[in-house]
Amino acid sequence: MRVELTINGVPRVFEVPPETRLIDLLREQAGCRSVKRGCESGDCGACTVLVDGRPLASCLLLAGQVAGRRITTVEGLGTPDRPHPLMTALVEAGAVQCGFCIPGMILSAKALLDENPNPTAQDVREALDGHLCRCTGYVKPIEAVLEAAARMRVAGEGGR
Amino acid sequence: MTRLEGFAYPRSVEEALAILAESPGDARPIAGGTELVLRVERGARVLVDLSRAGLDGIVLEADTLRLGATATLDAVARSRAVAEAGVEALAEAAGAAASRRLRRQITLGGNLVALRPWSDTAPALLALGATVRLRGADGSRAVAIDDFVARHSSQGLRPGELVVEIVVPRAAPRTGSAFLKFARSAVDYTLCDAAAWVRLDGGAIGEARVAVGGLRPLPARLAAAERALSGRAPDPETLAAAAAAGAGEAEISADFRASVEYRRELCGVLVRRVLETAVRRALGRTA
Repeated sequence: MRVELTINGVPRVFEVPPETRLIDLLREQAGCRSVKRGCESGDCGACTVLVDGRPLASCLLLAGQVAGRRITTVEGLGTPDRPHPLMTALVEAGAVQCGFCIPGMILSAKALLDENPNPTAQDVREALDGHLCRCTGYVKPIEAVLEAAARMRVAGEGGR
Repeated sequence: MTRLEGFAYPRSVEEALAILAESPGDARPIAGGTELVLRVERGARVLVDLSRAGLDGIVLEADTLRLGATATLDAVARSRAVAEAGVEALAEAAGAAASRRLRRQITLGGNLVALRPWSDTAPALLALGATVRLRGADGSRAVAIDDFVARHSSQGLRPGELVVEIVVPRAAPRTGSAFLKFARSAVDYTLCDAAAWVRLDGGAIGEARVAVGGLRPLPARLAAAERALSGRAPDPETLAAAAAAGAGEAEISADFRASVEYRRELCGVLVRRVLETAVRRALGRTA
């Protein structure tokens, strides 16, 4: 089955078996290894990607369901040289230990900030709901997202 | 064995029905997909993706709220029309099922057809007296939510038939509703959920509907609780007695998450709380 998708701004075409899930297409064919294989049943949040800007579990979506849609993964947000402010803030806050849950958290946080650049701690908690972390806990990621939001607002006011 | 060959992307209900009629038994509708994706190998030859068929509208009319079958639970929970319709139990159930991420994917129609442990909208719609509208090649029909759920929704559907819409009466003055769910964590399966709707009549409860889910395979109304409310003053003692009667009557099964005894206790507490909230809302809804 032929599936056309836009991945991180680039239109791509894939030939996949029709039962292929989005997570497998992204990891095995598109090279997006930031999309983590966790519970594979929609519970842990590690495989979260943005589909037309909305965070969804890529393990519970067939590739065919998102045909024609825009997919964003962490590879599309920043690089080690030019990290996204969310990435920088998460590292500086010490929110990253093993890092397995972080790509999903970044994307859910990105979707939140796109919708609401000035979130409360409660907004961030709700946005990160269902992202399971077994290392650092849940306080530092929340602080980091709030810090990133503040920096992005300052940068925005500076005209960048 | 049937092997999946591909997807169809109908742009309208008519087109979807035509595809389903063309390949009876071979084509299967897919909405959010959360229930289907993990066992798609045992599914159909063609998946008819309903997400582009224009079935996701939420429309507020003079007396009713009409919810398209593919409206996501997240959209329902955050809908202005749902809030304006005053159907609190539905907004609360749609905002409590599964996790926020899955609520962006799970559709209202799918939640009802699948009737899985995360089908928290079913008791809410039972309490609100909803109607399920179905369409097939032979035309459309409306089924009361009680009948739809009682036969397990998926078996209430004829071959090639689709749930197209869920219709809920708008809240009238002196009515109120509420929903509560209990699970071990925000993303775990529901251990018990409860929904209530009441209509006050003078100083008494004129009519009440109470429903629970998560306790046994199918969500169900609690007739004993409803009888214990009808015609009585909505005081705390009456509500507590009705909740106890409902919990005593509920059919409950155990699994590794919780025993029958624990679920029965939960059921009584949740029913009492949703009744208290529903009554408070009914008292506050003067126009």
